[in-house]
Amino acid sequence: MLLLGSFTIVTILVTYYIASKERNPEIIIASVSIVAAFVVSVSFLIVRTFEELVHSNMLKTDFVSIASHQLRTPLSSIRWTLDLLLGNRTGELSSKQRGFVESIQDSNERMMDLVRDLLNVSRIDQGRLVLKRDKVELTNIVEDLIREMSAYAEANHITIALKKRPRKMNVLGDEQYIKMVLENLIDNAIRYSNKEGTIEVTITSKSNYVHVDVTDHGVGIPKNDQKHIFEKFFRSRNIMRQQTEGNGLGLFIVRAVVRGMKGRVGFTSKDSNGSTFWFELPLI
Amino acid sequence: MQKILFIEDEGALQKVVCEVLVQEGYKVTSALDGEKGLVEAKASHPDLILLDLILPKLDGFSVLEKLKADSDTRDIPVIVLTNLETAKDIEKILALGATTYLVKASYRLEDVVAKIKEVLS
Repeated sequence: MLLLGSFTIVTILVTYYIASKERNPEIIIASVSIVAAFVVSVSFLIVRTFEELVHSNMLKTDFVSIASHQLRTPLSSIRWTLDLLLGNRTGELSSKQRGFVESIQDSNERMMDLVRDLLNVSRIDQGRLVLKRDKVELTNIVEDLIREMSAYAEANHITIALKKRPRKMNVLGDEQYIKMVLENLIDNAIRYSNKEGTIEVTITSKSNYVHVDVTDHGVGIPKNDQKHIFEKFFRSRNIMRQQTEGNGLGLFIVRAVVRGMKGRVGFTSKDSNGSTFWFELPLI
Repeated sequence: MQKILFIEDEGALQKVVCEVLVQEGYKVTSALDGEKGLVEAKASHPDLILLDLILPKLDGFSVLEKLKADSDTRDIPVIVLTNLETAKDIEKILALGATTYLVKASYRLEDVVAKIKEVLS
């Protein structure tokens, strides 16, 4: 609109200049007509481009809504059907059958995680990530999550230790997304730890922020890869050699979510010597 | 025996939810589109309606609106089961009178059963 307005003013000035310099009325009429036709054509192009941009934005928004439903509905069907089977609600499964059904469940959960991450990335890219601003007690969330993830950690021969138990730490944020950030960091620490390793989760307060560290003693991040670590789809070369699971979206989402809650996120790491990922959220 | 009406167009989802609710001791009827859902709600007057939002013929928002506008069905609690989760959709569902909503992708089957029992208790 600014472009259109500026262009209109320039053409008015040019038309005035021609009219003031030229005495012949036919030339003045011809000049004004040419300028007017030019203004109308350019205006049409500008408005048309603007409409296409709006339409393209609407398609992106519709994509998120459509993908939410069309992708997640069949995956939800599979998940609940597997819950039915594994819950022995249709009769006891043999151990062989249970093994196969659990494999399908793992694959389905990976698909659901990927769809969830792609939808979050789409919302972030469009500036449509909506985060609640509720009072959230962070220490409880950390303790509960560590408890929930213990079985998964043990299956990978990893111990998770909560190193500090401070007083209650209240922050303003979205509980579901805070859990997602923590789960992401702890899951990464488990995946990239060496067997029989330990992960330490530490909660402290620094000025007006609560600071959470997640430390592993695993493969670390090579120096050349460190500047890319929060980019979409990036996975460090040493990680790709170790395992191919993982979609490279987790840390991109973590950073967007923490920043969206007015927090900070970062890491320190040495190749082959582990990493500490941290995030801070404002205390209330 | 308490009656539940499940309005959902995804066949596999209908099958598994109906199976588990029958096992839990409920009498279950179902409809594959919004129009049939409304007809069934008026005919059977269930104790609870589980309602999907993206439905053929008449979408879940319209079904909910009509249920709450009809004195015969206004007081039946409705749990919306959906994968739509924008703030706008949630506000609309609750403003139209849904008792609660569950985002399918965020819940396991047993969680859904627990929520149904909570609403019916």
